Amino acid sequence: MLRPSKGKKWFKPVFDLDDNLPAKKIALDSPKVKSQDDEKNLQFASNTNILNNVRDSNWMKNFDPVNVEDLAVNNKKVLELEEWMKNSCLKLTNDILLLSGPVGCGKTATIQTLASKYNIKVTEWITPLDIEYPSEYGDYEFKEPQTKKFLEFIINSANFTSLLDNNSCKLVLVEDFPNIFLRTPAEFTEVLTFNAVTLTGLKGALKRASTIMNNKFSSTYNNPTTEIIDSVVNSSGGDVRSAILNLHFACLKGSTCNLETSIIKEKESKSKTSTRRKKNVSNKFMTLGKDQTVSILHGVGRVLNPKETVTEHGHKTLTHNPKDIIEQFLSHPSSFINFLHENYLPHYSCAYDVDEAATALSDADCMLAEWREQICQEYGLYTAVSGLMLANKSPVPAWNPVRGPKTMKVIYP
Amino acid sequence: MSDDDVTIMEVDEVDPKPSKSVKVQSKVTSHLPWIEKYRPQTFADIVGNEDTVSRLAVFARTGNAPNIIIAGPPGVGKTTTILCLARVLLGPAFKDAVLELNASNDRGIDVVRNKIKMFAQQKVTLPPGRHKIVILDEADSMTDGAQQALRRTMELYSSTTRFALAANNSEKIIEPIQSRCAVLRYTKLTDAQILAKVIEVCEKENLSYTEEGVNAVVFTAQGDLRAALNNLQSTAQGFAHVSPDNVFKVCDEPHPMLVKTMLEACTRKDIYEAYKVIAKLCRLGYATEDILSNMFRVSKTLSVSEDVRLGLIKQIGITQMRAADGLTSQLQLAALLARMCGGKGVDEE
Repeated sequence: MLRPSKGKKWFKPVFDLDDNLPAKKIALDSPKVKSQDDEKNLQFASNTNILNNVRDSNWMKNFDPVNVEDLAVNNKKVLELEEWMKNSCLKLTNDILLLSGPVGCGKTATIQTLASKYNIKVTEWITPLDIEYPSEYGDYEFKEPQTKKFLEFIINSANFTSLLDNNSCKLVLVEDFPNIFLRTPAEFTEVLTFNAVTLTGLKGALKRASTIMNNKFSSTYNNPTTEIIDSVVNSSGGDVRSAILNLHFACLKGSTCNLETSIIKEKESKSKTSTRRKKNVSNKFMTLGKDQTVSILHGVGRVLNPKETVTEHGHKTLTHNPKDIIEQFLSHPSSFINFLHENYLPHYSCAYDVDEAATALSDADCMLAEWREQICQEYGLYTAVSGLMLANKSPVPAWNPVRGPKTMKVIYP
Repeated sequence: MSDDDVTIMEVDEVDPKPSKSVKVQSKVTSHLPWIEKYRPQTFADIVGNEDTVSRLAVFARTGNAPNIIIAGPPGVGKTTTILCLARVLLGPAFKDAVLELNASNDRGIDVVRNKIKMFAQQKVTLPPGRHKIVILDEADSMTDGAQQALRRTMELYSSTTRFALAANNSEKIIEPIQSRCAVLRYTKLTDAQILAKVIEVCEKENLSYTEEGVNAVVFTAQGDLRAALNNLQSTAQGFAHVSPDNVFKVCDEPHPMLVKTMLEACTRKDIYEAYKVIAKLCRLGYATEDILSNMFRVSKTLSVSEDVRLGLIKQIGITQMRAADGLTSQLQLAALLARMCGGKGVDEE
């Protein structure tokens, strides 16, 4: 489709973005062998056929970068990788490179794009089935062990070249590195670490995706507005793949409801991502995307700056009911309370109030530690949220940035 | 649809004679759990989370759906949404082209490596834009290793197979998988949404019900539609009439009205009145934990000022922790009442 030169290979080409931190990828330059498994050969051939028949069977493939310029990865990293490829592949010095980096920062995509630029063949190790097809009684036999197969694969692909292709440079890509060979990642001679994709990079990638969508799929998808693109960028957390998926979801035609977005002040998100942004307001999807920090920041703001409304009888009530706030965070109470704990102090103006707030937090901590009763989580959350809101009788009006908790690594839920 | 399937199977097993099968059929339908009987078959019937459901409905029409993760609390329609999507997308091929695995199936690393891969490699003839679907229910209970093994499989077979995951807690799904899927978050259903559905079912079943009765069902459900329908069916089978007394009798929960009067007595510092109630509840044989969690739920909606509520909930929480330690005696409940009557944070009015 996008790269017809790869269409006839026995393996299913994978141009996708990739992988999480511990994912290991070795690339060793070596002649490539055609196949090690006839049965698999057939299956992949059929897969490729399907791919060609149904143009849009895999939506994501439409957005794979074609040129090096399309990559959302930092230019310098691309140059480094390019340099390495030139050195080791084109000069035929056997070499191994480990690429690591967060999820969806474009590791595989960079390799594939560069390889196609220099006309290097990429062979990929795909973890084979280690059992035979089960018999009619459901029992099955184990095939030969994976370790053996992996070694065979490496040796074969290093020593033999295919009759069908005529270029001499080969690259072996290993994504699912068999654990058994992986004792110390330091063994790898060269390590190249990728960072998460920057906002500008993400925006560029999404702009490109939206033009492709316009050209090919204008019947099914609305043209994404800049607002939608901004929301997608903000809620993806530097992950190109999930950003494109979310764009896919957000631009669908024919849905009557708009996705709920929430608008947060620029400064709040700045403290999280520590990147500068020109715009003052950014919005994120509430129901979509993997970054849930937005709702946490919302909640923290509501708890620490409690607003009161006076009813007609003269009673004061809280504008945001604690009950409603806790319902949002029931699935991860401790991370929310960590946020509260990190941030509550600057919002209080009186030492007595702080005393009360700290008591509430410590009570909550005690209840959260009770692991035998699930409902205790709810008690703890309620005590913390409601306690902090009520204790704060005269909130500091000044604006305070929300800090991430130091004691824990923020895991994007 | 599923009713028919079940009936046919039952008939085959029980008796092939047509004269008897009629009898069996009616009997089977009436004994089918209502959560299955009223499980929505189309997207239009799904309650709540309209924005994401409507988008999935579009995918079901046009095909080419991405991999999805649906995360949310129990009983909000996660599995139902996925089944709907699969049914609409695949139609008659549903049986061949769907692999459904839930927490009760073995889903270790071997199963992911072999069974799921075999399924992905199988050939099923489907119209263009349609894919085989692997449904992984309760995916947050899969081990990390199994999820890691799933990661690459998802991409390698993306041209033929789609994955749909349902989970209570999206935190427990590893990041590489979240990145490969569109993560959809479902929220708890509101009481009004559950109420509407419960009344609808009551009318379809020709049940006699009172307004307070269905409200009681909603109260016991706490945002979980499945629990609501289960409780409704139990009440209907036991008493054939949905009234609050019947509902709480069937669900074996302390009557919230009693608990409410008790809590109100506490805020008036009337410990005698409050103790009468707790003694009655203990005589009826309710477990301390149940009484406590019921008190918590009632106090969340009690009409008192926020600081009183906080005081009450804190004390209930502390007592619940003691109960978790094994101290489930009536003495603990009495102590709780005493603290609630005279404790800090309780109104001075």
